[in-house]
Amino acid sequence: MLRALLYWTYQKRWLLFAMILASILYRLPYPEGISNDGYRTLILAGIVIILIVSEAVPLPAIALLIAVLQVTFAIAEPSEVAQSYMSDAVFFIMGSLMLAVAIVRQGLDARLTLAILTVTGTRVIAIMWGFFVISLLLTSFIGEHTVVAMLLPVALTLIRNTSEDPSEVPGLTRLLLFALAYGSIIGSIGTPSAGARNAIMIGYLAEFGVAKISYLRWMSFTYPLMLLQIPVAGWLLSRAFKPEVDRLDSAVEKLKAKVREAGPLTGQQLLSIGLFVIIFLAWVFLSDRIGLGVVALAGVFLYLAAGLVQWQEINQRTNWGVVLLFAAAISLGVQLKNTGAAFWVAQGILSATGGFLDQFVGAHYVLVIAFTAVVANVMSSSATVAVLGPLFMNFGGDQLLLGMATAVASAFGYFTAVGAPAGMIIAATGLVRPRDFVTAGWRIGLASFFLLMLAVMFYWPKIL
Amino acid sequence: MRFLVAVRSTTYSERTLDIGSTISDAFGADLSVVYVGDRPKELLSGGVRLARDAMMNWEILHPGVDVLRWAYRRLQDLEFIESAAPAIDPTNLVEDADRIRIIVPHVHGEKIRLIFREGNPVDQLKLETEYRDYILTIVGGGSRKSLTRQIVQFVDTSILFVKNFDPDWNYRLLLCVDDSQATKRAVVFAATVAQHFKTGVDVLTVSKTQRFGKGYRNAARWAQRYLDRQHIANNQQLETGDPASVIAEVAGTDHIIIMGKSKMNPLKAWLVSTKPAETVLKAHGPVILVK
Repeated sequence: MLRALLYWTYQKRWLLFAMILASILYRLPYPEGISNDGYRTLILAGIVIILIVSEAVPLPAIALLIAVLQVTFAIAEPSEVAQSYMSDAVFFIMGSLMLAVAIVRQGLDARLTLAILTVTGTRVIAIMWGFFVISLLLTSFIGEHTVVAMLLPVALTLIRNTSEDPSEVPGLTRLLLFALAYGSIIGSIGTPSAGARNAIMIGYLAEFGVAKISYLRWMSFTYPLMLLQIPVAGWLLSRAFKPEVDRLDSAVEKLKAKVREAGPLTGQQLLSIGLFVIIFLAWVFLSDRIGLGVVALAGVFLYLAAGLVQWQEINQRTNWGVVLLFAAAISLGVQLKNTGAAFWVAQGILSATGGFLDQFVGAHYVLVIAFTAVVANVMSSSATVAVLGPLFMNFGGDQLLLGMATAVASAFGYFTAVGAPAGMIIAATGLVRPRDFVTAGWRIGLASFFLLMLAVMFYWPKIL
Repeated sequence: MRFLVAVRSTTYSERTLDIGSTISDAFGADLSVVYVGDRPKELLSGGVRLARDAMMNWEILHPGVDVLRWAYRRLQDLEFIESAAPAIDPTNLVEDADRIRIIVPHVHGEKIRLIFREGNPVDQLKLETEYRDYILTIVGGGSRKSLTRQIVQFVDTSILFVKNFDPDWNYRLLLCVDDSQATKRAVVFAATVAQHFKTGVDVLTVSKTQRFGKGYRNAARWAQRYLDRQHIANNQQLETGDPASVIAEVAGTDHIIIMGKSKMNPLKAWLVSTKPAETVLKAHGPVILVK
């Protein structure tokens, strides 16, 4: 009995720690300069961060806890909390997760493979560039987990065609898998539809009255930066891992033969591509008026109505817990802003630096970018923006630039497997080690950091 | 009787599987092979699931299933199961509770089981040993302090830590006896292993002080009598000092250490560790902790 209790305590240590800490903080007199509501919202944010990072309870449970504590801490009325749980950003997250299921099941991976290999030929370095650029460009429109899910089996098949045991060709394996992952991570800043965090930030910017960012306006901020990263990051990646072979002649031929077995494009696949083009155009031209999320939901409707995917499949493969968590996290983010908690924390951090940051041009942005990147590598990119986005936007500077910098920097999940979906997917193959993320990640992370700083300092102010 | 062997990869788990099958053979036990992989972060697990589904269409298996398929072949090579037995179909899976089981061809359906789990290794081994009635759990490692202590404390079976294992089996047994309740079971276990491998047993009693209490002396005498009755060659050795250090030193690299699991108060064990856990950490070779 005692042992069982001890084991439970050990398993739930972070939950207990969060609860004890929250109970103590709740009873302390709240500090000067912050409202009672703001102080309690901060306590709630602390609990949420601890629980998300430690996974001491299932994610949907955290989402429920956020609603319960917002009401019981008297931060907001029940109806207000309920309303704050649903927004266009949540619609977008829900829609994009469902779209991913619909798109991946169309079997377009084989077509993509043929297209990539026709262009790249059989040289390993050219194939790496092919995977890197294609995953980057595709992700910039349809999201990283969709693209990596489609291209990962292709990369693994190429590796297995080279050696039955991938551990015998670790350099090749890592080079191709990281080309996919880092390509997708970099591409995920490109457009609002590329990642949930982008939609969340657009929602915050509009909600807080900072700016209304359209699909094309977002692209004008991020696409040049993304394109600039292609040669830099691609070159750095090619130097990070040394493949055991220079050419993959027979592996490519075997793969092409396998792909050809699938035959020509089917009507269903053509319809699927056509529908996605319509969704993309709607994002570009209609999302201003009807929202990114509604377009994504319309896309899911079209796929369902056309019979390209079954509801049961979408229902089974969509992680509804994540939708619920982001709904709750966005609700919390809004409260952090509305109660003044985000402003209070940001000002507290700034005053703690004793005016040091003010002496250097762009120092505020350096702090926000570095802070966001570090947190994103621990807590994942979207969760970072959802919970801490409102805080980072108050770090003394142009709020639009700070918000955009936060969204872009949250994509610097190069250093750990948990930083981005693409990293987690390649880590789950068991073929890359945690230290590989650091080996390749630090160079690309540093380069991305400098390029973002250049954009924030010299390019973005010109297009405001 | 059923033993559980935990494997992690084809590279690092070969010896664990070898010793697992040999020990199972010695006891005539059935063997379950469990692969415990990392569970993807829940926040990002949707993408991983999507990728795995897509991989199945390309006939690329989950790395854990690959390891289990390798384990099955290895058990055939070791003649634990017939080498002519049909290959397993890695897509033929059964999900029960929070584990996945690969269906093994009928003739071996009971003798071996291949199980796949994801999550914290200690949690998953604990859950697996609660799911079925295992006598012995065989794991690799034994060097990582926190993990080793948790396995010793929370996995409620006898445990064999396969540490620096010599595949040629140039081992004697070092049976550590004291006044704990599990000592007698450790003696019986050691006798069975010694008989199977036709090896001798060195019986070691370690006292922290110069004085050997009555319980210690009785345990050593009982062990000697039992081994004599089983016609197993044995030597008695009495040493003083820190038990874990002395046991590790006497065992060196040419003994398999066998000792009882501690019955210390769980809270105290958690706070200050136990003699068996410390012995595992300090040992240079395999250690069997008998429940």
